Amino acid sequence: MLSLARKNLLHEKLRFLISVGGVAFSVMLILIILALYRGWNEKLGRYVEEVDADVWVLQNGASDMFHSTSLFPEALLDQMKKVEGVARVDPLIGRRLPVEKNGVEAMMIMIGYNTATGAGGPLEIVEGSAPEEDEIIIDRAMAKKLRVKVGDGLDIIGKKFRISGISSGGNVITFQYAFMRIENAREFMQMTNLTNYALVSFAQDVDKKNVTERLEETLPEVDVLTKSTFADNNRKQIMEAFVPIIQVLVVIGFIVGMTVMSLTIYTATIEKSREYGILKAIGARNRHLYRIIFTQSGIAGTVGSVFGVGLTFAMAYIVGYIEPSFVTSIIWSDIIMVFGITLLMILFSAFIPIRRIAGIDPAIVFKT
Amino acid sequence: MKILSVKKVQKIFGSGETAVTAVDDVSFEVKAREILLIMGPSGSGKTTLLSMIGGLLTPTVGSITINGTDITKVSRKQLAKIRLHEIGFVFQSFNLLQNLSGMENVQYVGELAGQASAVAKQKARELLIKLHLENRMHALPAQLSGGQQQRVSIARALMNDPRMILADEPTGNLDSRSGHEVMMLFHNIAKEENRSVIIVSHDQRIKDISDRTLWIEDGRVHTAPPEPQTLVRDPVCGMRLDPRYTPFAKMKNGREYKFCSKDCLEKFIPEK
Repeated sequence: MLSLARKNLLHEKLRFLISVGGVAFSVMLILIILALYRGWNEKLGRYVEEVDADVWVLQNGASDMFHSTSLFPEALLDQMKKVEGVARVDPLIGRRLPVEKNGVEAMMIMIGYNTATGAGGPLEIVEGSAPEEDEIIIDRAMAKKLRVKVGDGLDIIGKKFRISGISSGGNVITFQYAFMRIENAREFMQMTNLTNYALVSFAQDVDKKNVTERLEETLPEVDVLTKSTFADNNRKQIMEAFVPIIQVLVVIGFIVGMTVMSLTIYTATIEKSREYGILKAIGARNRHLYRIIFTQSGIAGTVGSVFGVGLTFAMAYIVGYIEPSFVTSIIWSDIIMVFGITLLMILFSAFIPIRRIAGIDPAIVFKT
Repeated sequence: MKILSVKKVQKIFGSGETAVTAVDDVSFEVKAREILLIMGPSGSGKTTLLSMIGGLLTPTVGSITINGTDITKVSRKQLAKIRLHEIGFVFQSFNLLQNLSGMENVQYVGELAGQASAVAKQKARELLIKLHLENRMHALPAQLSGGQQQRVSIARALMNDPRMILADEPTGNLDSRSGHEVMMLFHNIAKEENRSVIIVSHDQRIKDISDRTLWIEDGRVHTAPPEPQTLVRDPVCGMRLDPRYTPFAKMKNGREYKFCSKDCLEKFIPEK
C-alpha cells in the first residue's frame, strides 16, 4: 500500500528534521545521563575491585573510603598473617587531600601502598615509573586538569613531591587517586604504627569464606569485606546523592522529546486536516487515518532514536576527550530500553492528533 | 434502472428558535445513464442535499436509497464502504492529496478499496491515459493546471467503478475550455459507462449535457428556473449566469460584473 505517511513526512522536510532532531536530542540527553551514571558507577568501584588482594580489612564500623574513616594499629597485620589460609597482608594508607597547581584546585585520594608487592598501587602506569622517595603517581585525568607531566613538582599541603608517573583507572570524577610509597605516606601523613586498611591475599585452593570467617573471629576489632562489597559501599555513598537528580533529568529528557514530537505531529495533522477529511469523504475509515498518524510518528521516532544513539556515542567521545572527568559507559540494555520507551512515548503523543482526526467532519470537502 | 432514490428528505440544522431548515421535503430519482443538474442560488441547500446523497450528512427526515440500500439506516462503517465503492466524488477545488502524484492519488483510492498495489497502479494508469494525462500522471497536483487536476479528480472518482458520480461545481475553478472538456467527460461517463451523474453547479452550460435540471430554492425543489433572457455572461470565462444567484460580483466604473467563481473574479481585468 502506498505510504501516505512516508510521503507526507518526506515532503515536509523541515518539519521532519525538527521532529527527528527533537527526538534525537532527547534520546541523546537521556542516554548521556544514563551513560554518565553507569560511567561514574563503574569508576567509583573500579580501583577497589581491581586491587591485587582477596579482601579489604577495615576498622569496625567503617564502610567506605569516602565518607567514613578506618584506622587501626599496624600490629594487627601480623595477627592477620598468622590466620590459616592467609598468604599475604599489605597495609594501605589513604587520605583525601587538596592540591593546587597552575591556579587549578583539585582533590585527590593519596594512597600509600607497598611498592614491593604492588598491592593497592595504580591499576596501570601509562607513563613514567613507580614512585621512589618523595615521588608520586597521579591519574591522567588529574594530570590533564592540573596541566602537569612526569618530572613536574607538586606541592601537597606544604610538602613538595615529584611526579614519577601517570596512571589510569583512578578517576573517580570529582577526585582522582594518587599513589606514593607506604613509607613516605606514614611519615607524610603521620601514620606511624597505624594503617587505614589492610589488603589480604589468600593462599591458593583455600575456601575464601572460611578464611574470611577465621579473620573476623581472630580480629573482632576489624571488618573483612570482599572487594565487591567494599566497592558497592563506595558506590552507594556517592551514587545515592546523584540518583534523584539523574531520574529528574531523564524524565525531563522524555518530556522534551515527547513535547517536540507531539507538537510537530499535531501541527502536521492540523495542516492536513482537510486532506484527512477528503479521505474520510471518499470512504477511508478512521482506523486507516489513525494508521497514517501512527506510521508518521513511528518513522520520525525511529529515525530520531537512531540518530540520537549515534549522537550519544559522538558526544561521549568528543566531550570525554576534551574533559576526562566526563566518564561515560554506554551499554546496549540502556539503548534498547530508551529506544523502546521513546517509541512508546511517541506513539502516545500521536493520540492528541488522532482525537482531532476522529472529529473531522468529512463534509468539509464541499467547502471551497 | 434506478440508481438513486431520494424520498421526502429534510435536513434541519440546530434546534428550537435557532433551527434552520436547509433542505425541505425533497424527493427525486436518478436512473443509470442519467445526468441530473441541481441548480439554485447560494445557500439554497444544494450542497447540503449533495452531502446527504453522498452519505456525509444524515437527513433529519426521509430516506436516500443507493443501489437498493437505504444509506440513512446503515452503520458508519457500512456508509464508509458505500462511499468508497458506490459513489465517486468530484469537487470544485479538486481536493487532491498534495504530496501524492496524480497517479498516486488515483491509485490510493483503489488500494483503500482493497485492490492489490500492482492492480490499482495499472488501473490508475489506464484511467489517466483515458483522460489524456499520460504525460502528467507523475506530477504533483501543484504542478498541474486546474483542468488537469480536475481530470485526475475524475479518474479518482472512477477508480472503484461506482454507479454514481457526485460533482460539486466541477467547472467552478476552470477556464471555459477546461470546463467544456470536463462537461464532455461527465457526458461520456454517464452515457458510455452506464453511470448516474449528479452535478451541483451555477454553470448554465451544463444544462447542455444534462438530462434534467432540479431547481432548488430555500431548500425546496421548484419547477421554475430563471428565464434565459435574464442571464448574464461571466466576463472572464464566458459562462452564462443567473444574476440573481451568482455568488461573485464586482463593481467597476459604475458597472456591475458577475462571475461564476472566485478564480474568475480574481482574474478579472476591466476594460478601460
